[in-house]
Amino acid sequence: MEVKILHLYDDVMNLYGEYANVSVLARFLADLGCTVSVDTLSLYEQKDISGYDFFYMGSGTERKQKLALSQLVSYRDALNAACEQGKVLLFTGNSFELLGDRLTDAEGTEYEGLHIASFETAEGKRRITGDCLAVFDGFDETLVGFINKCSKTSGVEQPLFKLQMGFGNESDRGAEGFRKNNCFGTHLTGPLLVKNPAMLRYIAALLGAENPERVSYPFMEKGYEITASELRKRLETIK
Amino acid sequence: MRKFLAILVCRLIRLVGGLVGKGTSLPGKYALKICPDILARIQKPKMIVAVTGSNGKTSTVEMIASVLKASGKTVAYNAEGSNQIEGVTTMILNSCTLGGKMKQDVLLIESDERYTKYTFRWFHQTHYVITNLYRDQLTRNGHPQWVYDAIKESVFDDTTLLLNADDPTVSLFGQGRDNVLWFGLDHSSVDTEEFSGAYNDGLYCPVCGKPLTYDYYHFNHVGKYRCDSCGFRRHDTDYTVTDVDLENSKITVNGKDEIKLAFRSVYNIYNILAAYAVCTLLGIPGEQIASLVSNYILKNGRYIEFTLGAHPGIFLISKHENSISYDLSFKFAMAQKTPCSVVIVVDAVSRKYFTSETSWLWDINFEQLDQPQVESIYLCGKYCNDLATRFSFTKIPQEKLKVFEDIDAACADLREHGDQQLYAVTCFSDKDKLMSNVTVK
Ligand SMILES: [Zn+2]
Repeated sequence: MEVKILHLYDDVMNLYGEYANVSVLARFLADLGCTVSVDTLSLYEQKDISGYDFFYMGSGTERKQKLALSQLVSYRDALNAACEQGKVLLFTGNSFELLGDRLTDAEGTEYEGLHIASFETAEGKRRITGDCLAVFDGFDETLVGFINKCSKTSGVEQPLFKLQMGFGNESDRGAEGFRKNNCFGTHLTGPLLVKNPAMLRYIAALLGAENPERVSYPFMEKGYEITASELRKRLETIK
Repeated sequence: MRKFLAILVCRLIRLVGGLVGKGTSLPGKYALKICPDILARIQKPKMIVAVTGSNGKTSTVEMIASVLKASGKTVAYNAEGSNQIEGVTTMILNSCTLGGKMKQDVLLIESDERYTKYTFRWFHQTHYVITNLYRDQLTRNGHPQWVYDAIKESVFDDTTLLLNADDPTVSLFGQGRDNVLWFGLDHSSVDTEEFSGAYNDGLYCPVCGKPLTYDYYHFNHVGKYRCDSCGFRRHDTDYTVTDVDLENSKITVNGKDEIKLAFRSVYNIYNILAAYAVCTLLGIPGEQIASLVSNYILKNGRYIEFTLGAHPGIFLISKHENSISYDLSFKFAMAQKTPCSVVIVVDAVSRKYFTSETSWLWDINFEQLDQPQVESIYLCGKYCNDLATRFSFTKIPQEKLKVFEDIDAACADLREHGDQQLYAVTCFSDKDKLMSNVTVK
């Protein structure tokens, strides 16, 4: 089986080690017997992005996010089509905000999004950061992660996670992220698929890998368990 | 009257606090409650130097203070950990007369990069040193551009800036203003034409967003850059390291003043250069600064020699959540070319706050350790598994890795085996967990 991965703007949207999401997914799929190819789309580069099975984009500074958006809008139709066809799209950190209708910066300037969903995001002057525990209905394991943003997102019809700890779309401890078909947006930053082996398996299965639980990485599993246990302990102390 | 009361209360709490070993921000906090504009009311020295940035604030301030004192100048300055407005207030109120007059020649302030705007709300610094802006403690700081915006609020028109010209983000502060003094490194033997690092924050122009071109890199994205699109470029420098000779542990400043380095690393060169610049402005001759700074041993203990069993070892204290500090520690260790083992400990991400965030491990250029002289790499502490996963994505032969959640067990293993050189790389937050197992020289 062949899986073609496209990493969008890895050169600017790479603030929290997000490249690891693509590295680990490529390795995992290859270990599961898939033929994997990874391409990147750099800032200012124009290319045909149809034919990819998995699209990934990570976090950037607020300025670089706008820079990336200025280029990404030319792929609006292609990305909407990919979402409608059930291709897998994963947008983490503030790239998630680009999937919506509109993004407003702290000065009030508006930017048009990709219109994959109708939500809106407004940036502010306050940094919202914190460790997270997130519940997902696709599997039993609670996800671990970190949110690092300065915005609130409203109008999400189908959130991705329910947070036990951390700040959700509206900066409350509630709904976080966005899902439509196999398009996922979340403000969880960094190497989400490394930190959460269950999410890695889930994405691999969506991409057509059979029985992904056949392959596992002991250090990753143990790392997840330790972080999850640290965060659960933390949750007890702040409750 | 409120001023007098604030000074008095600050001193009394400091006195009592000193007896029970409390921190230095509490007295200032109370003084600010009594008299919120106390910092505006104190008569301060003519020269007020502030130092901020991601790395090297404390070292730079310590060096400046040490040169000034040795040159017969009087200086009031704060220490690491009390670099927000409360700590600065404590320091100032303990350095002035009860009437609120500072008699020192210089007021020297290490300022936390995120909160510096609060400190300078009540008075302006005359000189502002900005050392660098790196990815540092992003769990609190967001990102370097966010910190840039925070610092920007404490950059005033009547302040002379002393900027690191080799750091593109820091250089942005100098855009469109004249009262800027620049410091930086000339082309030298430590430079590379190719970028090295796990990520490159110097790919695009911070002004216009178009590609940046580098003639060479000193390390990571620090070097000689230019934007062919808008003209933003590495500025010519007023204070310059004109030669770096790591082999003989020395640098030359402004083509004439030779400074001996305490250890062979580019890590401290910018701090030395910034200190040189500030002291020059205070009228101290270059050769005098050079001799005072030469072999200056940092009091904060970033470099400690030790033994563990038959192993000689060197602690290279780095900062968790700060990939460049790790990159430079590994660069130093690998330049020595001696057969060695490297010990990395990530147990508590921070000593000041809770987080389980390990994304920053992916920003560290561990690939540097893929050298034949590296016999083994010990990955230790609570986050040893995350380290091991990170290392599984390097070219380093996996059989060199030894993974120990228990730091004492890792040290016991080392004590029993071998006598090769050790390089222990970790953060202040985890330092003591290793220190308790070794004998410091
Ligand atoms: Zn430019």
